[in-house]
Amino acid sequence: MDILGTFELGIILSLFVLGMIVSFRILGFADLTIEGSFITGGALFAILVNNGINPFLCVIISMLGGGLAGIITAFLHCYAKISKLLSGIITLTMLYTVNLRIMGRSNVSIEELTVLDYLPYSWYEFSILLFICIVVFALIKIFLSTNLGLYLRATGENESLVKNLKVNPKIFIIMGLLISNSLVALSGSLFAQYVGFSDIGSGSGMLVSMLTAMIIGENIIRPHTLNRQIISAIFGAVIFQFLYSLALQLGVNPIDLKIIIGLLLIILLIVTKFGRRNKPSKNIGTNFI
Amino acid sequence: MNKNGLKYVVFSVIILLLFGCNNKGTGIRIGIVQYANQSILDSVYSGINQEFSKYGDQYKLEYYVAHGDPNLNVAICQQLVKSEPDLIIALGTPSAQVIAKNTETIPLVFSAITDPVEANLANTMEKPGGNKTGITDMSPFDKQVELIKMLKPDAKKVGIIINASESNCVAGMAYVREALENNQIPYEELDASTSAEIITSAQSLAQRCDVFFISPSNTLYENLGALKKEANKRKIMIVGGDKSSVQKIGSIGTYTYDFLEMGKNTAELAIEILEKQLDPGLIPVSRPKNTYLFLNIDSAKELGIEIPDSLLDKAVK
Repeated sequence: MDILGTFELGIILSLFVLGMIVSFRILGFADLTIEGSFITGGALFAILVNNGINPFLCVIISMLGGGLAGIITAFLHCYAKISKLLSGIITLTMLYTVNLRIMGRSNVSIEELTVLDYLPYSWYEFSILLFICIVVFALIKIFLSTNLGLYLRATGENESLVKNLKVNPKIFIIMGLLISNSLVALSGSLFAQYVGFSDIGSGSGMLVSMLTAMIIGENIIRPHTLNRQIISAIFGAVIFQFLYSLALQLGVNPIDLKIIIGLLLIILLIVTKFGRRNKPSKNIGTNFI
Repeated sequence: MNKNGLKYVVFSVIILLLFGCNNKGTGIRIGIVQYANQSILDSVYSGINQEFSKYGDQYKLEYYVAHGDPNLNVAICQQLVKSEPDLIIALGTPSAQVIAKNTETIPLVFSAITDPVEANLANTMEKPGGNKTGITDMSPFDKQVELIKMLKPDAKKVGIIINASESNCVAGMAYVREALENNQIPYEELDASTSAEIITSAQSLAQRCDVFFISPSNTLYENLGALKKEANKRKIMIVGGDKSSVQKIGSIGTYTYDFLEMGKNTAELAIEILEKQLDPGLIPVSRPKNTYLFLNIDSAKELGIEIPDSLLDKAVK
């Protein structure tokens, strides 16, 4: 079993889950744009780095690209008054074309050095990813503890409270989706670097997988504080990836693989439920999924 | 049993599964990754399986399917590389790319990949380099274009609907253009990336062309009915496509591959590499050995075209 690879992929995807927590849980916005901005991140990175731009700059630009998609969704919701789900779906639909236009074709391989290639040997790839992950998680934690971050969290929990404070909640919806989509695009760009190519199909089913990862994380780490909520992203993503490896390890018929993953998931959720003696405490954030 | 006990039992079962299942048997181990359950890839795999089964227990196949899940694809490829099989066969571009990224030592044979050079799987078609070689499913466009020359020597203009956003279509069209220019056949291309655009493009082309050529665009393949409708209205000859385009859409004829045979060729290539200890990087990326001609006599009759006997003899049906 490739434990290192499982952890590396888990770390990359934990950024996706973190983005999801910001929009789904903290902001209370079920934003489907992320499935598209995941590909946008990878596509922008692949094209820019192949054109000889510094890989670190490429990562930042690809994050901005994903964030822009989030802003569009937020505008559709706040100003065009389209429902949350639908505005995400509309942006997601349009992103398909945008991503194809960015790449020019459906599959682009990365031919230049990436952020992960700066140090040799496989353990360094892991440490770079871990470093990026820790920095991003710390930044998000710090941001959510500032005044701005508190307003953002309040927007998700109780929008009318924010209005009573004479602050426009729309600003925080836009800010929240900008942050969550940038995180997802970062995850997408790291994923593309990790596998060595960007593919138009690489976002398919990602949203549902990562939603599962988020819920696994929350089942294991009861997120009744902000810190726990953020940390649950890492646990969720790594354990979810671990389930995949475990199912593969069983050596079942390829057709039965997905049912094995489902069964492992059921076992995991039951075990975490029974293993808990005290009653579940109140979770932070909105709990509509 | 109390709840804590149950917890420990389940965890120990998981740990046992993790470390207990290292079923490395005897024989030469071949790892096969397939990106998705799709008809072409499935038939390539059954071809590979048939060929290897001839050798009995000598080769041990380990077969994985990623079900089109990008995440699972990476997990499968990493695990496969980690288990160090003697050779890996990858079907589908994303799987081949991840395997190529993860190993530089285990020989990789890819198959059913339209453009290995564009996908960074080969440096050139003649000399792929590294540990990899394989078989491309780039259709024999030159032969398909020759059909136009043989069946309708006085063709005024060939209309082609393409999709510039599909990499396999762009790659394939390079060959089509070259073949058309070599045969001095005038042609016109229109770009269509949605079903609606295909209908308008077909209507527009129908006014100026007397032959339609089916480009390797997936969008076009999904909407061939629209092309057929326009062609029937104006008695335009359709050429090219795959077997089903000839049987269902009424394309007058095409040359194409048998994907089961492509699988067998893939397996033969893998066996050759293993038995003769060849360096895969030096083996040119090949196309399947045989092409098959399919003709639709009904549409030929409707259009009043005589199919030469030389072609009829070669055709599969």
